[in-house]
Amino acid sequence: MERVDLFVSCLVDLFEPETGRAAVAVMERRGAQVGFPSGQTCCGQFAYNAGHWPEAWAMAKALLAALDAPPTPGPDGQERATVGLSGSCVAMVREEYPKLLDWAAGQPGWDTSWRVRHARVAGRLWELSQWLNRAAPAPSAHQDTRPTRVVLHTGCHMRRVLAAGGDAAAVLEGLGVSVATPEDEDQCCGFGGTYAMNEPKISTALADDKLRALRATQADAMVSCDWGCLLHLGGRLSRTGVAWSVLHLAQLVDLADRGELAPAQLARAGRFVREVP
Amino acid sequence: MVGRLPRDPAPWGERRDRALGNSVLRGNIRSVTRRLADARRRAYASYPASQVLRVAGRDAKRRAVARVEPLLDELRDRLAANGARVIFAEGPKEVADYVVSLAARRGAKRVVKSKSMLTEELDLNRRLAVAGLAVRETDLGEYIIQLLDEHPSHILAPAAHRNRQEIHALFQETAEREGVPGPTSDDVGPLTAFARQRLREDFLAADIGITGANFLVAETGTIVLVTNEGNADMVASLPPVHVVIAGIDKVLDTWADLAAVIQQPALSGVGQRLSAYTTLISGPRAAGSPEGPEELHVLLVDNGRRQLVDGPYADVLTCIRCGACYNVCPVYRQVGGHAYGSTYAGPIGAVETPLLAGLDFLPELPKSLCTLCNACVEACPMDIALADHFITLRRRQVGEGREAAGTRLTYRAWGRLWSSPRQYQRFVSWARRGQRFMMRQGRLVRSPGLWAGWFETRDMPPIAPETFHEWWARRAPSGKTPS
Ligand code: SF4
Repeated sequence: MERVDLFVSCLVDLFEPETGRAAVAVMERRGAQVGFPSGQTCCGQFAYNAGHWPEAWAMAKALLAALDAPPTPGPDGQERATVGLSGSCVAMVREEYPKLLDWAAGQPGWDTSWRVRHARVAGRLWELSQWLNRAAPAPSAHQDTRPTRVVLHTGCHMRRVLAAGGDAAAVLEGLGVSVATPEDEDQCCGFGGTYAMNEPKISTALADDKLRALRATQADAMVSCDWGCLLHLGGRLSRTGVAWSVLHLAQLVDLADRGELAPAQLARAGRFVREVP
Repeated sequence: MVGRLPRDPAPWGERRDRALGNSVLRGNIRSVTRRLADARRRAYASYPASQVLRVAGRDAKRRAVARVEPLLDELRDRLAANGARVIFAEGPKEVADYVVSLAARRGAKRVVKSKSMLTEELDLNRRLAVAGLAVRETDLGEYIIQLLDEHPSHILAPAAHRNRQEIHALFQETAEREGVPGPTSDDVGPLTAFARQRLREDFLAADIGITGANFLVAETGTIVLVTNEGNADMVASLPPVHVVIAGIDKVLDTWADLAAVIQQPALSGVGQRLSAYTTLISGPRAAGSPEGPEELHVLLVDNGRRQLVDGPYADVLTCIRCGACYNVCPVYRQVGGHAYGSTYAGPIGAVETPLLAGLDFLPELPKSLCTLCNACVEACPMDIALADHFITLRRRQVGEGREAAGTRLTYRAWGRLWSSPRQYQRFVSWARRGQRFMMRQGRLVRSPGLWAGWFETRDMPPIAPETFHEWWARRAPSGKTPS
């Protein structure tokens, strides 16, 4: 049995824990023994991107220590993967931490062993869709006859920094879900971490453009591998009084596994499905 | 030494709101950037050699920047041997003074120019006008914005923010003022025919022609101009004096290096394999030659470039001003070029402007004009590390204490709490207590401090009644999923 440690990200932990629970179910169905390194909090990306590197480095160390810790109880001596539920955070750990390490190497209190720990952690870290795309398929529940149509929003770091843009679509298609492509699909949604707070006007103009393109596909739901983008886009839907099913890939795969993918079921399943007057 | 760049006196918020409120501008910028970005993508996809050439061109530029001083000396010697006057100029004042005294010596009154971002950077037109010279821009887009008394909004398409209808109206007005027939319609043909007619007179009457340079080849002492309109050839050959004003970053080592990079401005800029005109100049009119300028002056300008050569931002000097990064930038696509507040816009502008002019100059650029989507990194033919530069410029600004004290404190507290699992749990319980006062209909609708901006336009779900951590702790002992 493959051991998989989950790296949920702070947004999933705090705001969307259902995504984490769905991921556990999905991975267990595919034969993984799932562990959760409980020392994890946040990868520090928001601080890193905003230029607050001492804070980012403190968080990075905490995360590396957590993900590099001995595994939670279970049969040992096996190949172990870590699976992240945010493309952007996985990109941060794999592709940006080396730059942070280079900087930290010039700071007081530097310990070279961080490079080793990073190499160990980064070497076995995958984003969920990457893992799913390579995992054995789950015993599939039967499908509704009308194929479900979702529109996939691929976050920019997932697409460009992690270069894992294609996996989620492949996973969805493997489940028989039809994936709509929005116009301008590779344009940023305007989230950008703290950018969404620093520059709300530009950030929101970008969200509105993105939502227009996503909604134009008339898909049953919007799916992504990043709750950052989804909370920004969904939060905008909520504020403008639009109800739409907004889901993380883990939740969609979980629904598919359980045979609950009919458009009507999907429309009730996600976040932001209820209209707020 | 840091350089001097022009700046819009309006503060960032005002520039941004002006842009966001102008739907015509946003529509125009939106369609121009998408057209150019698509053309680039298609050109690369249909040209198998493009990637190999791109990398060769990039490496040629990098090698040149690393050896810029010896190459500039070689260039100067070559050009001087061909009869050109070569001058190293520090900044805007030195360049303008040189041109003004040259004009005085020649008794020159009229100047024609081809497109040059550097002379925009040096604010040269204004300085020459103050000295009593009549300056005419002859690139179509530049001609348009000169008539409008505006600055370029796009590095390659200076009038990208204006559409055909606006340009037609502008030319009508110009025609009436100058007492000549206006363009017959707002189609591209009649509009360019009008401009060509007006510009012809300026070309023939000009005493001095000013061009920039896309590349300068040290080995052969060659000035290379890349254009799509052919106006630069007229500027460089009709007036009796030709002045080239180029940044020191334009120098290349060899002819082979030029061959490697020569396609890039057009390929990455407009999706053509080569620009319509490539002009090679290596000196003034030779004895016995029937044409060409009597005098050729080449000004090699620093204006903040030299200080970057040996540092972590040296790759910025390899920029070929193709504009590919502008065309894919989501923020540029929303606000256009004027919002950036100086000469250069888009990702390279937001990075290079504070590097050239100092971190105090338009300090909002690194922070407010980039979402870190990395689209520019993907598009840039020179592989300039634009996203990394945005982040490290922000880091320098933070490190030098250029941020509001409240923001700094918030990050400190945030970093401290979240780098310890126990403190993080405490944060969760405080936040749960606090958020009760910020909810409506089960959703978070406001927040204090750093997060307030979010809630101007968006809601958030509240912190969950049971976080994933808490759920896992409940589940873990048995290893079974709690209901
Ligand atoms: S930074 Fe790169 S993409 Fe942007 S103008 Fe310069 S060379 Fe072109």
